Amino acid sequence: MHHSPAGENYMSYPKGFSTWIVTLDHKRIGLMYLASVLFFFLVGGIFALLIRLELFAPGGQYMTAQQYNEFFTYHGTIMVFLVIIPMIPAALGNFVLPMMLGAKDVAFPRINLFSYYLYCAGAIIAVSTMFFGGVDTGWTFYTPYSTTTATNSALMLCAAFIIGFSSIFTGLNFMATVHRLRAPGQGWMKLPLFVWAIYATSIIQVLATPVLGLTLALIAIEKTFGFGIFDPALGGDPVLFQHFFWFYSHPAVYIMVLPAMGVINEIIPTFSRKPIFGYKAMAGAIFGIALVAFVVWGHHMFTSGQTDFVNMLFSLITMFVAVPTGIKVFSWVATMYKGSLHFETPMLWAQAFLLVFVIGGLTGVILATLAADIHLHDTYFVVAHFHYVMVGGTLMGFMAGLHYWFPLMFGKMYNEFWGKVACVIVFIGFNLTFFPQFIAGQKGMPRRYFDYIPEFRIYNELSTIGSALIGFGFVIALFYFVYALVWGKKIVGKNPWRALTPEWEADCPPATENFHHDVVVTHGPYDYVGERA
Amino acid sequence: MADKVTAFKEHHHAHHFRNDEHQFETAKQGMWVFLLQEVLFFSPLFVGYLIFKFMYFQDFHDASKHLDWVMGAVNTVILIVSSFTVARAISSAQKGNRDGVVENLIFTFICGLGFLIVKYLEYSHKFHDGLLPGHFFSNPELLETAPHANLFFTFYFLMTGLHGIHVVGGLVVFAWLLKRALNNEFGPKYYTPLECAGLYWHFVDLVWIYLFPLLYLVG
Amino acid sequence: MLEMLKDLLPTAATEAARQWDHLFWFLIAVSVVFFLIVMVPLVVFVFKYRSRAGRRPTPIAHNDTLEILWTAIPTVILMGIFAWGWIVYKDLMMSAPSNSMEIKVMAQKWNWTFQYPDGRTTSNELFVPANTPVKLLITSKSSDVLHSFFVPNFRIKKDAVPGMYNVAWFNSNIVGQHIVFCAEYCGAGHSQMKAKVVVLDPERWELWQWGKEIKLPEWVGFGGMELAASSSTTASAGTETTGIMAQNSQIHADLMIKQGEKVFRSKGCIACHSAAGDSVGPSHQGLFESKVLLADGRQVVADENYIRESIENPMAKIRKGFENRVMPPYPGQLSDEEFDALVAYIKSNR
Repeated sequence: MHHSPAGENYMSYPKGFSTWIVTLDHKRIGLMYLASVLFFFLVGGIFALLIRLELFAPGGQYMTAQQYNEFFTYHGTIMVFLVIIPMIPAALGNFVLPMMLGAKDVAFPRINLFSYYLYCAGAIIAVSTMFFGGVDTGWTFYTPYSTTTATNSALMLCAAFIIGFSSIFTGLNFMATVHRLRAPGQGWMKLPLFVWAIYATSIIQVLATPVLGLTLALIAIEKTFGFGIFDPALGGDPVLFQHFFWFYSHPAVYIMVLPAMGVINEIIPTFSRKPIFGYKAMAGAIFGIALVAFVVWGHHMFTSGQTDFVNMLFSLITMFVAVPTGIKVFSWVATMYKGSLHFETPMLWAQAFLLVFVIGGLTGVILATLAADIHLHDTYFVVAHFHYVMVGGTLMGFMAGLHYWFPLMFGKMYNEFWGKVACVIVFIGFNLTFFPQFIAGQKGMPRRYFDYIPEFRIYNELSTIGSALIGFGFVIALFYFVYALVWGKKIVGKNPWRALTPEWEADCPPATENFHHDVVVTHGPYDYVGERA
Repeated sequence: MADKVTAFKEHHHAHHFRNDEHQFETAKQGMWVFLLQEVLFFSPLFVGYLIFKFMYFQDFHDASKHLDWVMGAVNTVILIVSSFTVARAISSAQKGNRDGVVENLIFTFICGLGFLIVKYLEYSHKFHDGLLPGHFFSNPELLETAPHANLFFTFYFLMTGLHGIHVVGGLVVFAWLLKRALNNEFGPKYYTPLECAGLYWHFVDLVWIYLFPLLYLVG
Repeated sequence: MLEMLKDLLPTAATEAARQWDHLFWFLIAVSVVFFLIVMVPLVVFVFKYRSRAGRRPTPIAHNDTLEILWTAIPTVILMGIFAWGWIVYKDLMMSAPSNSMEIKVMAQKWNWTFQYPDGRTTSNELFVPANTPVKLLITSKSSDVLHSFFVPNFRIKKDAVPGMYNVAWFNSNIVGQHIVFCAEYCGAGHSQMKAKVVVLDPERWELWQWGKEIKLPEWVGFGGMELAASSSTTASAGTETTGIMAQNSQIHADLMIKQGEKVFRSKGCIACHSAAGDSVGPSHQGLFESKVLLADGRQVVADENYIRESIENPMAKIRKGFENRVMPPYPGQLSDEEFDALVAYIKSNR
């Protein structure tokens, strides 16, 4: 690859569609991920709206129970595997991570492209199941339902298997990149915290995803050939599947939320013009969360019949997740103390993140409490909790990051006013959608219900209205982003947020090889020292 | 042979690395991480096997007697030898001995092939005796005395099958490396693919070294 | 105000459920406090420190005291929460008294079947007397899928797994109909897989046992099932199960034991096992609910699951002293009914 000629950047040089589909440039691959993730966010979002539409009133309205079950399965699988997991690491991370290290690319550019195409292949297979029998297992694929259903769960399992490997290769790539491609002078304690977050995420991806991959393969084999590992009639054990599944899928929650925390770690100091509060504690907390993530899976199984002693242990260990999470939240607030706060759109999203993430985290403690979970397990309380963490946490973190790095990625600026409007609308819609679900859940409404008793009606009505509002907010965002891309005014100079992390040393948008000079790190990522507003 | 001078092809490190060594070290680290992933990929099968072995101890004991430990032992030897030859291929490359690389790669390839042939003989024997996974299981003798032997063979076929797929993958890689070696691409300055393939092959060997006693001997 | 809060949970119809409510509101209170601890400073900072001309940020990068405090204090509080959660869990899930009335709960797509101690069964309606502990042995039909037995008013939930007995229990003093949901996704009929627990006062319980028509009590909460608001009655304490159910239970139990003894002989168990003492195999005298020392040094309690497992798969948990004896396993050779009879017979040899 050559340096782009003067006046050209990574988007304009080399030219032509064919140079994009075989590109090894991490920035282009990042953008391709971004486009794909946003497309599937739209698809998954449409399924969400369909679910909410059906639940607006009790009884069957617009679809059959079977169709409803397939819709929530697609909503879950698409959102988890195709959107939330790759959303920040693969899309934003691919673009920003190497630049934060002052590197020209990730360690293995070919593997990077390969994992993008794995993602595409998995996505195409996942979507194709809609035309080959549908899937109605829910994204959790619990046995024996998934091995006996008349729908085509085996094909969906293959899709998830392939996407899993895309995720593994991305993690592998980022691990090697962080280890080997840091700029001169950039010791571990000078890394931006986003890099720490992505690094911890990558470790989880590499260590947990293969377990899921093999487990899903086992189910597909079981469904197709009847090998009996999870089939009690042949001596197998259906609860074993849940252990294997959650061994991945609980850490997967942190694959989803750690990168979002990373984004917030970048935005809050930059927009407070202050060093991040407690850098070492922050980095340590990220690793604490990643570590504990591997030993809490049993808290998904408090009612499954695992022994009371095991339940007790998992409840105890799960409590410890809250400690590092608390450290992070407190430190973010402390970072704003005596700062000089700017409330442009990225910071607004970060504030929204803080508010909803705190609620998601606190309800997580309630669910970790053994007795409390017995009643709340598999109710809408759980649904609300994980949407507060995944939508409120990950999605809002992603939106914060997208607005933050948008000028770097495209060299253009979106409309600040509409950015704020969209953020406020999504924030209100989000709380309107999911807060009532806490109450429906604690009153006993189980999840994955096509029909419900009239007592739960008011909460479902509010929730559906809220979901429409969320959709409306994202449509606004779509419009101003497209407008900015096509007609937006170019950025003059670089580094519009006056950030100190290395990625902003590049032009907006960057040149093909990122920087015009060799990056040497001489200061910490958040050394904002006493400058004026 | 080592004194024969070979004109190796020039190799340039990729633009985002500082030098050849930087690239080599990075590739090797990537490979290690990949192997870490492989360990966890195999882990559910090992964990599942141990859980069921504990649950159905006697049945698994009886079932494992139907495995041919001689064939297993032969395969163990084959793999250990091939691990040795792949290491020799690498050291030949470091010394600039192209023919050494080629010979050792060919020998490794033949070992892998031999492993698969023995595996094929074992499998066909199991098929013949009805020692098959899940509801395909139809061995009359074990059906009578060890009703959960079917699960043993589920794990036997899944574990050795997954390992077998890795062996096949290794063979494809060795064929490709052989072609490149014949093309004078590997020399003292550049042998990264050999090194990585070697690590992979040692791992495949190691998995078998756990599988063999676990399935054939510990019964 | 407190009344409004009460409306945000289903009626607590057992003592354990009331304990649960205390725990839950405590958790909510702690959550609100922590929410405010984060949000009040946040909002203050947003207004106080927003950038304006001449504002100079103070570069405070850390404060050890503060950091230690906000690590240590939450840790202590979390341990307290965990402990309370465990205490309530023991009441809620683990404390079935030994004199509980035992009900077998069988789930299948998409209904619930309840089998009473006297052998009779009902479908989707579980009738129990008030103020009586009821122990549920929950399972799912073999070759069916997972379900979960969820009674919001009792705050209990337990999965129904094929081939496994899971235990739950309750003791309700609120006469009325309590809704049961299936809480584990099980396909197209999942949301319709509802049942009810009908808690009866002594008079109606007596009538119901004789198979007489009774007027069902009101719904407790979940007015949606019947739109009329329900007023629940609390039964007077001390209901006794002396009616026909108790007598028939005895007859049924005797029958089961007899049948079990028959199976015990006809299937050849008697060749190696005896109530008189250990012979080739271990004796079953006094076995049920005793602690059994295993060959590998572990100790297990001989409950229904253990007995069933030891018949289906004798080598799984070998009694100490019998390491070298071989018993052929019996899966697929005994019907569910024969198993139940055998277990009843072994239980009778206390």
